This record gives sequence, C-alpha cells and structure tokens, in this order.
Amino acid sequence: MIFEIVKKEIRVNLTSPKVVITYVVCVILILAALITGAMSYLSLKEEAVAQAAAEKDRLRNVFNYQMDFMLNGIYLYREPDVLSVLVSGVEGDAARRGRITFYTGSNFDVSKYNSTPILAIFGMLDLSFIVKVILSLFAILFTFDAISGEKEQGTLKLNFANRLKRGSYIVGKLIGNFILLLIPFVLPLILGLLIVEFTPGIDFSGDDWIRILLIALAFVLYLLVFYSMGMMVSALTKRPVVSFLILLMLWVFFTSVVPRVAVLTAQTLEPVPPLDEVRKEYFSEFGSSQEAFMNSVRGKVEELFESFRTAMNSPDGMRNMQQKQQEMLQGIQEAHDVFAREMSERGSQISREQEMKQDRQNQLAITLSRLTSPVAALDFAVDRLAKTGVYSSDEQFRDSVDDYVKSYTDYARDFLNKRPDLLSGGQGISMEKLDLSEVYPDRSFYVAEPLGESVEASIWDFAILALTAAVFLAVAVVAFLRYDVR
Amino acid sequence: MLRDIIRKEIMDNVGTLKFVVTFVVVILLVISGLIIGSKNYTEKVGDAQQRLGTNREVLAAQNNWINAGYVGLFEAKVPYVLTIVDSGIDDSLGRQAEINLDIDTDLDESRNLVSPILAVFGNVDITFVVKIVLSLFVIMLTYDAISGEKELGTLKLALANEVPRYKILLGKILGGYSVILIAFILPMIIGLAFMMAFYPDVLGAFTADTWLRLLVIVGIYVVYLGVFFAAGLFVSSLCQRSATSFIVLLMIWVLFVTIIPKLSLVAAERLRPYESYTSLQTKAMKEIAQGRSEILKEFSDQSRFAQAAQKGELAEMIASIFEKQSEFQQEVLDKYDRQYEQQQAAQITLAESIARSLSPTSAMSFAVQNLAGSGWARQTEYLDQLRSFQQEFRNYVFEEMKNLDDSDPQKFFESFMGDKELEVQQSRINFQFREEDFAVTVSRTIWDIGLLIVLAMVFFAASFVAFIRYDVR
Repeated sequence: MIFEIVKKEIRVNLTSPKVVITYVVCVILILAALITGAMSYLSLKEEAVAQAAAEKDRLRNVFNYQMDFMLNGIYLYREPDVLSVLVSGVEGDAARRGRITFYTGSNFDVSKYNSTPILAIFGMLDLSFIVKVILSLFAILFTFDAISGEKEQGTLKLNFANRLKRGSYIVGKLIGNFILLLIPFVLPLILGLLIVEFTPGIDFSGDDWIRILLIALAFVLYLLVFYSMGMMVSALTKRPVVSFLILLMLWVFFTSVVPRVAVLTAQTLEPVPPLDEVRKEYFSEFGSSQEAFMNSVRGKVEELFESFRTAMNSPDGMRNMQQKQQEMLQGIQEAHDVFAREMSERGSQISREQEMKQDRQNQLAITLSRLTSPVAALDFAVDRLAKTGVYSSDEQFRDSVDDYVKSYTDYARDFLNKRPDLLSGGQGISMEKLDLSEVYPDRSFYVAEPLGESVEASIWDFAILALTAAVFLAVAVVAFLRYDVR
Repeated sequence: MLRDIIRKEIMDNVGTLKFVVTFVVVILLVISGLIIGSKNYTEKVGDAQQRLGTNREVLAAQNNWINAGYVGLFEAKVPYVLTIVDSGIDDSLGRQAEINLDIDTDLDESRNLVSPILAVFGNVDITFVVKIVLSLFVIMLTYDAISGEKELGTLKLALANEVPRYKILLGKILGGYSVILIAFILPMIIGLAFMMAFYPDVLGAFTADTWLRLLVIVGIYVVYLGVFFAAGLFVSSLCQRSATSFIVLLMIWVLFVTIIPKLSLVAAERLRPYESYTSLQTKAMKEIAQGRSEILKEFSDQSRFAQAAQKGELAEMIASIFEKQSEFQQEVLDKYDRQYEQQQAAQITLAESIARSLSPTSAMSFAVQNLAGSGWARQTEYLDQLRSFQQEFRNYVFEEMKNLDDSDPQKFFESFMGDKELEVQQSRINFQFREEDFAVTVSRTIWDIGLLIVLAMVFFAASFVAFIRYDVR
C-alpha cells in the first residue's frame, strides 16, 4: 500500500508546474555552480603556483639582504583545494598569502592580486549556496501545502473513505515527496561531478571522493530537515497560507538571523582585543630594544665616520677605513643577534596569544550557532569536509606557515653567521646578488587536514541534522495521526 | 468610492495573521539590525583610532628619518556611519593601510580576514530586511490580490456595481501600498528611537548630508518594494488560480534576488577576463630589480660619499638616492598595478551593468551601497586619496632627510643614529578622507533609481492592462 501511495505522489506532482519549474531551475543552477567552481579553482590554483614560482625567482636575486630578506621577508601562497569546486566556504575572505619576516614572525593577508572584490560584491555561486538557500526554499514549497492543502481542497478526507490506514498514507506521502525533492538535486549533481572530473587539470583523489560522498550526504540530511519541518508545520495547521507564513519565517530565521546572533553572542562573551592594541606594546618594546642595539654600535660607527674624513688625505687612510669597517660590522652583528632573537620571540608570543583568544571565540561561536540552526550545522560540516572552512583551510594554512617560521629564521641566522658583512647598520647594502631560493619551501609545507580529522570534527553536525530531521518527522507523523481530515 | 475601496483594502490586510507576524518580525529585525550595526560601527571606529594612535608614537620613537620613512604611518579606514543601515561589502574590504617609502599603499585586513567566521554568515541589516523579508511579505500580500478574490467569488460581486475596473485596481494599489509602508516605516522609526536610546553617539555623528542620504535610501527601499508589489499585482491579474501566481512570483523572487546577480558575475568573468597579475608581476619585478641594482651601485661609490661629506652635502646626496629609488619603483608599479586595477574594474563594471539591468534587487543593492558608502566605490576613492597622501608623505620625509645637519660627522651621526626623538609636524602626517558630496553620489545612483521607478511603472501599467481584460467570473 505504501508503495502505491509513493507512486501516486510522484506521478501526480511530477507534471505540476511547480515541479517542472523548480527542476529546470535546479539543473541550470547546479551545473552552473559546478562548472564555474571548476573554472575558479583552476585559475586560482594557477595564480598561486605562479606567485610561488615568482617569489622563488625573486629569492634568487636578493640585492639587499637586510631589506629584502629580513625586513620584507618571504611570502608563502595557499593553493585552493580541489573541493572548493563544490563548496567555496570562506575562500573569498580567508588569507591566501602568508608573510614571514625576521622580526615579526608570521602575518597573513589576501594579496591584492589574489583578492577578487567582485566576489565580495556578488557572493559566490556554489553548490552549498544553492542547497542552503534555494533548495531549502523549494523543500518548503513542496511541503507547505502537502497536508493542509489537501484538506483545504477536500481531497484528504476522500482518501480515508476507504480502508486506507493513516500510517501508511503519511509514510507514503513523506517518502514520495522526498524522492521528488531529491531528484533535481542528485541527478544534476552526478552529471556535474562527471563533467568536472573529466576537466583537464582537475583530479579527485580517492580521499576526495569519500569527502564528496559525505558532503552530498550532509546536503541530503539538510534538505530532510527543511522537508520534515515543512511536513510538520503542514500537519499542524489547517490552512496552507498559515503554514507557508510560518515556514517562511522559520526559513529566514534559520538561514540568517540565528547564526548571526550566535556569532555576536560569542563575540560578546569571549572578546578579542584588536590587533593594533597588542601591536602597540610590541612596537614600544621594539623601539627601546632597537635603541639599546644602536647605542652598542655607536662607538664603532663614530670611528668609521672619522675615517671617512681622513680617507682622502692620507695613503694609509683607505686601509684604515676598511679595517674600521670590518670591526664595526662584527660588533654590529653580535649586538644584532641578541636584539633580533628577543624581538622575534616576543613577536611570535604575541601572535600565539592573539590566536588562542581568537580560537576560543571561534569555538564558542561555532558551538552556539550549530546548536541553534541547522543551516550553521550544515555550513560547518561541508566546509570542514571540503577543506574550505575556517578550521580546515584558514587555520591549517596559518598553522603550516607558523610551523615554517623556525626553518626560515634558522636559515636567516645561519646565513648571517657566514656573512657578517651583510649587517651594516643604517643602510646595509651588499652589491652582490645572493641566491637564497633554497629557503623557499615546496608545496608540501602546507599540510591539509586528514580525512579522519575532518570526519571526526563534523560528526556532531551530522548528528544534529539527523536528530532534528528525526524529531520533525516524528512530530509530523504524530500530528497527522491526530489530524482532523474533515 | 475610491476612498472606501482603499480603506477596505487596508482593513482587510492589517488584521490578517500574515501582516501581524510580518510586522512583528520586521520590528525585531530592524531594531536588532540598527543596534548591531551601531555596535559594529562603534567598534570599527575604535579600532581605527587605536591604530592611528599607535602611529604617532611609533613614528616619533624612530631616531632618524630614513627609519621613519620605512616604518611609516599606519592608517585605518573609518567606515561611513550609514553602514549601520546597509553593511554592503564593507566587512570583506580591507581597512588598514601602511604608508611608507617602500611598499605601495593598499587597504588590507578586512574584518572577515581577521575573523573568517564572520564571513560564514551574512549581516542582518536593513537592506537584508527589505531584500528578503519585506519583499517576500509583499509577494504574500499580492499573489492573491486578484486571483484570490476571483476564487472567493468576491471579485465579480464588487464589479456587479457601477464601480469601474480601474478604480478597483487603483484602490488595491493605494491600499496595499499603504499597508506595505506601515509595515516598513513604522519599524524604522521605532528602530531609530531605540538607537537614540542605546547609541546616541552614532546618531550624533549624523551630519545633514547623512540624513539626506538616509532619506534617499529609505526612498529607494520604498520604490523597490513597489516594484515587487506591482509585479505581484501583475502576475495575480494574469493567473486564474492563486496557487499558480504564487509559484510564479516566488520563482521571480529567486531569480531577481539570487540567480541573476550571481550569473551576472559568471557572465562578466567570461566576457571580460583579465590578464593574471602574476604575468604582469613577473615583468614588473624584473624591471624593478634591474633599476634598483643600478641605483644601489651609487651607494657603493665610497669616494662620492667622502667628497659629499667634505662639501657638506652628504645628507642631500643620501636623500636624493632614496628619492630616486622610490620614484622609480612607483613608476613601475603604476604602470603594471594600475593596468591590472583598470582591467579588474572593467570586469566589475560589466557585471554590475548586467545585474542592474536584469534584476531590480541588484539595482537597489548598488544604489544603497553607493549612498551608504558600504560598497566598492568608496573603497576605490579611499585608496586613491591614500595614494595621493602617500606621495605627500614621501615628499615630507625626503625634505627632512635633506635637512639633516651634516656640517660635521658628529652632528651627522647624532641626527642619523642618535637617540633624540624626531620632531614630527603633525599636520603633515595627518590623513583626512574627504567624503563624496551628496549631490555627486546621487548623480551616480540616478540610473539605478530611475530603473527601479520605470520597472515599477511598467508592472503597474501591465497589471492595469491585464486586469481590464481579466475574466472575473
């Protein structure tokens, strides 16, 4: 009997204008999202690779060790993950470039030429957006009048004029309509994935396919939540207009208001001081340390200047000047070592503290929002699995760069030990070309989050989605069993 | 007669559940939107002031002008106060800049970069309330305006009298629109009242210019809702069944609000792609490296130094070498950077043109962002002004460098490596952003406002035509 009902639901609705229009819209959007996601990924990846190569090239021609290598530092670039084709996550806003300098450790930005303000203006069209906003709206559209509409039309009571059991009816209806909702999602998705997989330059590894499967599962659970919510409200109300109104408000709240409020609450409960307040301390310390450093080489430089003046006037002058220069350089180098070590340790310490505070705030925001909104739960789950979220992408990149800081500073210090003449106070110029490219890491410096960890982290979100859907379904069934069909 | 019809329309709708629920939701969202917007604004202003404060101290703590030039100034962009109403894309845009001798200034570190979790969910501001909640409400109000009355049978009854068709429609238009205005304007007033209570400083920052802009923004919102209202009436007078008009209107909503804007972006990317920065950058870097090595060669000429020291022109010589290097670097960057920026801007302009012509939602968004200063336009203007200021600052530093006392090595050393704090002229390191004139902003948005009005008129006219021919039986 249930099977008959399922078939009837599908057959009746498949040709309705509502279904036809939504199907067409879905196919177009899903394919568009996947194809543009693929193109975006390819161009961003090309950029990142080229930028890294250009940086390595620059390091082959360093003319000013102090300025170009120590003060300006080196830039490390983040390549986008292939799964950003499906879920763009925070790609548009997150840091794509890490910078390591000798004195300030690591800091991050979006290089101007990696930034795409057009994305900020229009927002990304990715699969995640389509499911979250459009398909959930369609889910509501399919269900708001599923029960209350039939009642209003008078067809509901006719069903029960026979020996049809209520239980069978509702189960059949639930299954049938859900299949209807899934078709325009699953079919274009499979087609789109195949197209993307066969695009040259894009390769999904086995790991990636598992993630894709899990992401699809998360999307299905999410749709189930809104679907069951729709059925539930429809079975609790007598008029479709009322159920639609309620569902619309719930949709607005869950997709926008609730998550935002959760983040704001977290910000109020775990505030993070602005970076500049913290930097102020650092700079004043920097100033006084630098003063101490300068004082310690003062004497040497004084002598050097004196020798400048006498250089022109005596034959020994030139030799004397060069010797003085040597002594000065050595003294400067020793003092500099002390100064630099202090400052870079302090710099790293400050960044670490700042990060910890930010982390606590992020964690609280995530917990609050995922518990109060299925949309947030979905976002975190798929962002994590696609490695494009706050934790699986931004955080991973920052950690990878931070891990690299030590290699860089060790290299810089060793180099200085071999070439003390590179540090010459005021203007520090070396005319020769230095090749420092060996310090530049290859792509392996960035370690992506392993599958096991991503799954572990998102398990809660899956549970929340499944549980919410289950509760809504249960209420829908119970409400229907007690529904006044007359 | 008309007045009776209008009154009936208003009464009919204000008492319904959908109006009450919407009204309550809108009040809550408007109040929270304004309060949260004010909170964010106050924080951003505080952050900016913090950064600027650091500025003066750090600069003064440097002991010579070369260091001062390289350490430079830390600037922070202060958002325009109307971002409390429309947050636009401000959170994605950089707000911090460095002005020094070396790096070309740029606005970095957007709010979302620092806390990417903010980027996961959008902002719930007034534009959001209008774009999503109120427009859906308008659809719910109008989808059965005509077709619903037909289904109920009341339409033919109304026309059984001597009431001309157009009066009925006009009554619906005026009555319905009044309901929409009530649902929007009242909450806005209440919201502003709340703001006066909780964030009087923010309201205090409103100039006459600001109030004018706010007025125009509210006007744009009202016209935007009018477009959806007219569209709703039109579709309702085309369809015999309310259910059909409902689906159609919802699809139109999805199309205008999400699909067209996003597809415009995709279209513009395909139609007007630009040369990747990397290839430009490689060329630029090569040129810079070459030029710099030539300039730096001058530093190695120690005899020149000695000569200049004797003639008392040491400071000037060093300063002019730095100046030359800086000018050269800027020239190369200008050539390549600006070229890149222009191409990028062209793509954005194309995307915006496509979007605004096809979607009233985009037209509304851009217009409001322009007026609220929360969009791309203010950002590019800010960057332009920062760049001019960068040149002024550099000139100032070079001036001071040339004035170093090099009459004798001891004195030169003192001014170069001493521990005396620098005397910095505040007036020359203060950057003040000049906001765009209200009149200029309006002239830039006149096109969008015009589009919205025309679209509303077209839909209204179309609904008249459709209703005149409507089968009311």
